[in-house]
Amino acid sequence: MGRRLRSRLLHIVPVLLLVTFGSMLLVDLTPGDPAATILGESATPEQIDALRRQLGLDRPLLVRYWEWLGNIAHGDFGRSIRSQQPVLDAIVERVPVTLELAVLALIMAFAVVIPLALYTAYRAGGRADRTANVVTSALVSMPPFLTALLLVFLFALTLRAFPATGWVRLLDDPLGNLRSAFLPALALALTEIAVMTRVLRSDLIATLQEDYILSAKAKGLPTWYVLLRHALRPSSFSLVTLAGLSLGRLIGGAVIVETLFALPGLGQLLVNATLAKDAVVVQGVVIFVALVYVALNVLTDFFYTILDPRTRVTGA
Amino acid sequence: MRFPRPRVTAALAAVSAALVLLAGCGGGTPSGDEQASGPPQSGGTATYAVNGEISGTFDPAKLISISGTIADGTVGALLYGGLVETNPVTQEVVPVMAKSLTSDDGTVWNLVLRDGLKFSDGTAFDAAAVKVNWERHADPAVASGARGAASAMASLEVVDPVTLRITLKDMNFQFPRSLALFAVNWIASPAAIQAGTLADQPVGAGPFMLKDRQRDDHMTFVRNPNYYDAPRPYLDQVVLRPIADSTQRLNSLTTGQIDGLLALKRNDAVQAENQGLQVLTVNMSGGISLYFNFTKPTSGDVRFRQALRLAIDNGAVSESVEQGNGYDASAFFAPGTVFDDPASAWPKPDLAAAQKLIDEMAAERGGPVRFEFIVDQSNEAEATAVQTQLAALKNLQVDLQVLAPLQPTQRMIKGDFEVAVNSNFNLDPEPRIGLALQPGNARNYLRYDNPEMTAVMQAGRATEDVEKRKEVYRKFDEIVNRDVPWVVLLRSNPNVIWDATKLKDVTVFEDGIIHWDRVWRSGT
Repeated sequence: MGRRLRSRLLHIVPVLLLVTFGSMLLVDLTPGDPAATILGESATPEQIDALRRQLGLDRPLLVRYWEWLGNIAHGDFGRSIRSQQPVLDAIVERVPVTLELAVLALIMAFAVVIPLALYTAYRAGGRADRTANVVTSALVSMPPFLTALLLVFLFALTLRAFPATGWVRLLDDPLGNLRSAFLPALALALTEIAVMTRVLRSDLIATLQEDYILSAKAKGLPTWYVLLRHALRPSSFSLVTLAGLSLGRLIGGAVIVETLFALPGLGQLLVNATLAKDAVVVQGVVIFVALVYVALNVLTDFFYTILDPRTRVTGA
Repeated sequence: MRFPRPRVTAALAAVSAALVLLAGCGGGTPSGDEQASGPPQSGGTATYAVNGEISGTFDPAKLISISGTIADGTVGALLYGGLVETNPVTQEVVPVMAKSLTSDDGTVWNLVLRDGLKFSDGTAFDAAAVKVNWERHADPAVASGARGAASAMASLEVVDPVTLRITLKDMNFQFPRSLALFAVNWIASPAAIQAGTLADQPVGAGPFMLKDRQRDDHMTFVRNPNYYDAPRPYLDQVVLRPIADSTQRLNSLTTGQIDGLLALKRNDAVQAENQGLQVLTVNMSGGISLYFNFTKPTSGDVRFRQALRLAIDNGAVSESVEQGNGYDASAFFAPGTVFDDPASAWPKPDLAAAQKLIDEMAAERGGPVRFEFIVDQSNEAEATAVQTQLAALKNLQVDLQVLAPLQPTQRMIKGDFEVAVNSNFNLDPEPRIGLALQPGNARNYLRYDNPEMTAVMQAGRATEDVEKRKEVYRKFDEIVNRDVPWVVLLRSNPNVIWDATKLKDVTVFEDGIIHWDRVWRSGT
């Protein structure tokens, strides 16, 4: 495990260099000028040029990137061009929101996926399975913004059960926090539910054909015990991989949902920084998300060894 | 009650004009909640949605402009109040923290402050503080958005603790309008400027002080105990919530998470009215417009500009974008505004006449007339509506390009465009329209240079007499109708929407900034 971790950490260096340079290049190539964004539409070309020089934006891309790398090596993520806030502070300020949303979405997803997949796999081809297939197909094909808008219409505007926008901090009001997080987390969870149910159901159907399952049934073990104890665990590899990737994706990419619900998370930070061509912030978020992905991959590998001890030996 | 304005007598006609402003009279009669709402109650919180975060920091030099259409305007007004402000109904500039702003010749102005003004840090808000702020705005190193306004001042002299003498580079009786519209109106504590802490810890003399901020979520402002106009402000707190999506802003108000919002779409205001919410619309002249580059061969040809104006039915644009809820836009000055004259309406749409002009140009060129049409994503709906209408013209090819936010503006600044969509809405022709038509000015994106128009706009600045200005702007209308520097597509009137069962005495200034010091909450 330790060797694999070291190997992962070594692999991440070129990945981080690639993604941070790529993001800087993309931000640089997109039309617009951060100096003009800061000064607004009343700025003269001279004012814009002066601010560009002041911000160091007149220097070549590679020079700026090299300087940024040097600063990162000293733990300095730089400051936002737009707000002058230290990038690390901006990330730390927003991570709890995005992390909570992502974790809550996954908890919601697991709460639905596991029983649903177990039942539909056990009753494969039955009415419930066919219905679940139709519903999950519909959910997969619905973009998150549409899901979010439908949820707002139903739960916020019609039933008035949850707020339409906004965020309450966990420490300020735990119940209020759950209320404010519920709809955005559900909007994120619905897509995950659809994908995960289909994946777990397929794996379960394959597992349920195994001889040892027949043997367990033949021993007279209760169905629920066979499903939970003997079938679920070996069928969870794809689910765990998917959950790891989903968590990474949700942390780095809850952009639409955070924007629609006006939540102060990483996605919102990334959108605003991209619109303002605030490359320093974009790179900071990108490097953070890349690190999260690597950490989650390592964690996923770790879970494999728990799910199937053989992988400790084979390194599968 | 208003302070009597000095008459420009015949004897003083050459040199004497003044804008005298009275403090402490309730700040004029800005439009707003006219219904009787009882005596104000102190306490409580108001939560208001703005359409985004502030552009930069809380430093007035980084807050872009005094407009209710962006967060900067509301934040600046909460923190710094203002020396003067424009009443959106009468279009007069009225005092806030200034006692008076007067000039005999339009070049040398005397700004007199109220006595005893203090910043929230307890330091004196005096003439020297104003001087420090304005000199800072003019410093190129600060890169202030109000540098243009500050640079129009040739010199500043502190006469006494409450009096500042301002000498302008050019005579301008409309100078108070520049003061009201740009961030020079917001004065920060020199001590905070010196300490370099304004960006995160703003210190002004406005009705509220910044308490906390969670970026992209909320900014909380608490009552300033040093505010000059006690017992105002009545509210304990104002919470601003940036919500980018206009539908979500309205949803948040409907579901009671916020108490008010600013909407730029008339449709949102109509929906709000249908839900029993209170709506206050600020009537602005101009609107979202097509801008033409006069230095390009196609857009520089007056026949082309006239053809587009004749081909575009802005009623149909309104139908398409605002489902017919938009306002009349048949002339530059909006109905009911000070300089409105129904006789100055633009010619009615006439497709045949437009086709004739285009055919004439195409015949000369030996092929169809092509032009590039650039637009910001936020105005894509208007541009698409225009493109659809122009499709009816033969021999005309439109190359529509939808660009990233601010990119069309940057291209307009550089003169790298033929036709673009630009926000061109104003309470008064000065200062923005004046600058937009002034040869050589950075805001003259049109590259427009007509000595006749220059003289007309100068005449508008050379008097403070409203009747004389009306005459001047009749000429302005004539020239605009002839030269067609722009085609107004849609009126863009800001709408302040609020729950009148919760917030009382909501009035606004400029293009929809709420007087937060006057607002109070029912049932506190």
